[in-house]
Amino acid sequence: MLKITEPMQCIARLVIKRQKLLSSLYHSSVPSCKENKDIISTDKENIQIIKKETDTGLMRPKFEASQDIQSPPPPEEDQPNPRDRKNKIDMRFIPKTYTKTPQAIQFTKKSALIFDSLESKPKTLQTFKTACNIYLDKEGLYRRGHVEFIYAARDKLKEYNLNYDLNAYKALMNVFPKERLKPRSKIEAEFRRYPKQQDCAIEVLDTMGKNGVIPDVQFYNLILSVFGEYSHVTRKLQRTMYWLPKFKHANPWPIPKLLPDNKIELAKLALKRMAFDINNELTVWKTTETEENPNEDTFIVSAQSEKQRELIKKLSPDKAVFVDGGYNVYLRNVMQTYFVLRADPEHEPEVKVDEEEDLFNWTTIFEEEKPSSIVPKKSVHEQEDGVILGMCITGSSTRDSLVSWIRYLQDSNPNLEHIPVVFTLKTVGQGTDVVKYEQQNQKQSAS
Amino acid sequence: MMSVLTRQILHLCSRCHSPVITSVNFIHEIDRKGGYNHRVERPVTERLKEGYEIFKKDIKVFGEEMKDKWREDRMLIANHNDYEYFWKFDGAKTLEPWVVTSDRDNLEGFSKAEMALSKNNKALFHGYLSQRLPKDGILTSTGYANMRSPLKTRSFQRQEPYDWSMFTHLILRVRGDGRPYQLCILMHRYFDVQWFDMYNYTLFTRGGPYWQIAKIPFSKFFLSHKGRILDEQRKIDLDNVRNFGITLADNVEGPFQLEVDYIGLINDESHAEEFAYELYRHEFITL
Repeated sequence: MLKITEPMQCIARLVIKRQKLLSSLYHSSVPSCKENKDIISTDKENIQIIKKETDTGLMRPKFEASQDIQSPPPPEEDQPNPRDRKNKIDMRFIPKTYTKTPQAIQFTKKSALIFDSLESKPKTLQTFKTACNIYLDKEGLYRRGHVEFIYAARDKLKEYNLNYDLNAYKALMNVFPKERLKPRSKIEAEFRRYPKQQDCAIEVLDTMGKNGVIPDVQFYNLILSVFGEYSHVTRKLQRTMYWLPKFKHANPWPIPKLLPDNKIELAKLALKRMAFDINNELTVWKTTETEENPNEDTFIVSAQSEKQRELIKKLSPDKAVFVDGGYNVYLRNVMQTYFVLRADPEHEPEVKVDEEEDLFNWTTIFEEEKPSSIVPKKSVHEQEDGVILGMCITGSSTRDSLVSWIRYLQDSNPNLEHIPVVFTLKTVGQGTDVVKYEQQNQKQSAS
Repeated sequence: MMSVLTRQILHLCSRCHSPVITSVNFIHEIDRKGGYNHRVERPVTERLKEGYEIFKKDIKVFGEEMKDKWREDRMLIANHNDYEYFWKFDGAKTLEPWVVTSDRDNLEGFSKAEMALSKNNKALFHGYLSQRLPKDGILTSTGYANMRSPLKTRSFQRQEPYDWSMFTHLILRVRGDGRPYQLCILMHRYFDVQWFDMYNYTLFTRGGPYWQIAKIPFSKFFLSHKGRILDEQRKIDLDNVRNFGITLADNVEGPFQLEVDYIGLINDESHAEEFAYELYRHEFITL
C-alpha cells in the first residue's frame, strides 16, 4: 500500500504545486501593498475586481484620459476620415505588430493596477520608484512581463511630470533583467537578439531624446549591463550621447532647466528674454498692495528702460499712444500673453540733396550712395512698425489690469498723463495682425 | 556611391534608425513625395490645354534665358560681406509661391497653419499646433507645421537646383514667439535613397515685439533623412539646393506665429569652419 500511496501523494503534491505556480504566474505581479492584499486572497473575488475595474473605466482608451484641462481648447475641427485619402496606396509607416498573447494582455492590466494602487500618493519621483520596486519585489527573479510594465510606466511619465528627469528613466531601465539579453556575438547583435525587449528600450530612449534628457555615464553602464556592447540599443544610446550634448547650449536665449511655478517669476523670465535693451528695468506691482479697493487681485510686471522713458518725454500730446496686445510668448511649454505700449512711427525726414552741390562730387558705381544730410541714429525701440515704449504681463490680462498698468507708469513718466491712450485689444491668444488677401487686393486695385 | 549603398543596406537590414515604426517594405521610393502624393489624375485633353498655354508663355522666357546665357553677367565671386536676398517678403505676391503644409493636410493630426500678410507687409506664418492624435491606430506622435519655398524652375517647368555655393551664412530677419523653429534645406539629388536628404539647424526665437536678425553659418547644418540624423555626416553641397523651409514641431500645443522679413545669404570671409561635426568613421557604424 505504501508503495502505491507514495507516488499518489507525490502526484497530489505536484498538482498543488502546479496550481500554486499557475496562480503565481497570473496574479503575482499585482501590487503587494496593503490595500489590495486582502482582496486578492481568493480567485472568485479577484475576477470580480477585474470586472469592477472594467466597469469603472480601467479599460477606457487613452486619448480620453490625456485630454487635460491644462492645455487651451483647440479650435473646432472634425475628425479626418481616412477614406478621404486621395492616394489609394497607404505608404505611411505602420507599427510593428507583435502577437499579443493573453498573458501579455494580463501583464499590461497588472502593471496598470500597480499605478492605480498608488493614485492616492503624491505624484513624485519617489512614488514612481516605489511602483518600480513593487514590480521588482514580485518579479525580481523571472521579470515576467517587464516589457509591458515599462510601456505602462513610460506612458505615466507625463502624468507624474517626470518627462525631463533622468532619474525616472534610470528607474525604468533598471527593470530590465541584467546579463540575460546580451547578444553573444556581433552577428547575433545584427540579427536583433530579443527584438521585443530591444524595441521597448529604444522607444524609451527615443522619448528621452524628444524631451532632451541627456544620459550620463551611470545610465550608459546600466544599458551596457543589460544589452551588451553591440546591440542596437547601445548604438542608439551612443547616437543620443553624441548628438544631444552638441545642442545643449545652442540656444542663445537659454531657458532655465526647471521653470518656476510662481507666475510672477515666469513673467519676469519672459520679459527679460524679450527685452532687447540692456538697461531694461523690471518692476512688479500687486494690486492688493498698491490700491485700497482693487477691482481684482492680480499682479503686473512691466519692463521699461531709460531710453523708452526719454522717448515718452519727447512725445507730443496730439498723437495717441496704443496698448496693443494679446500676443503670445513661450517659455518652452508655458504660454503667456504680453501687451505692448506703442506709438506710431515718426516719418523719416526726406533727405534733400542739392543738385548743384552734387555736380562735382562724383559717385562711381563701386561706391555706395550715402545721404549727405545729418540724421540722428535711431534707438533700438524705434522700429518701422512703431515705437515700443514698454511691455507688460499681467496676471489676469484683462482691460482693467492694463488701465492700472498705465496709471502706474504715469508715476515715472509724467508726460503720459497728457497723452491719450487707446486700447486696441483683441481676445486673448488671438493677437495676429493679419491683413486678408482680399483687402490687400482691394488696396492694390484702388491705388 | 558607397555611402548610398551602405545606407540602403542599413535601411533594409537593420531598422536601427526607425526602431518603433517600419515602413512598407519597398526597396525603392515610389515617388518624390514619399507616399504623400495627393495628385489626382486628370484627363489628357485638360492637360493638353493647360500645357499649350504654358508653352505659349514659356517660349518668351526661353528666349530671354538664351539671351542671358550669351550676356553672362551673373555674379561669379562674392566678396566679403556680399549678400543676396533669397527671398524678401514684400506684398501679397511674394507670399503666393510658398507652400504651407501641416499634419492635418495628410490626415495625421489637427494642426492648422497659414501664411498671411502682416500689417508691415511681411510674411506671417501662424496657426495652431495640436498634439492630439487621430484615432487611426498607426500614429504615435503628431504636430508639425511647415512652410517651404518654391522650387527653382527654368522655362518649360524644368527644375534646377539653387546655387548658394558663394555664400557662407544664412541670414534671417524674423520676429517669433519664443519657440524654436527648424530650418530645413532640402537637397537636389538624383538617387532615390538620397531624395529626402535634408540639412537642418534650429532657429531660436526670443519672442516679443522686437525684430531679431539670425546669422547662421551653413557649416552648422547637419544631415538628416526623413527626420532622423544620419551617422555618416557630410559637408553641405550648396550648389545643389532644392528648396528651403521652416518647420515647427516642438511638442508644445498652442498657437504660434513667426513673422519673416527676409531670408538672405551672406558671404563672411572670416568664417573658416567648413563643417562643425566630426567626419571620421566610428566603430559602431557596422556593415
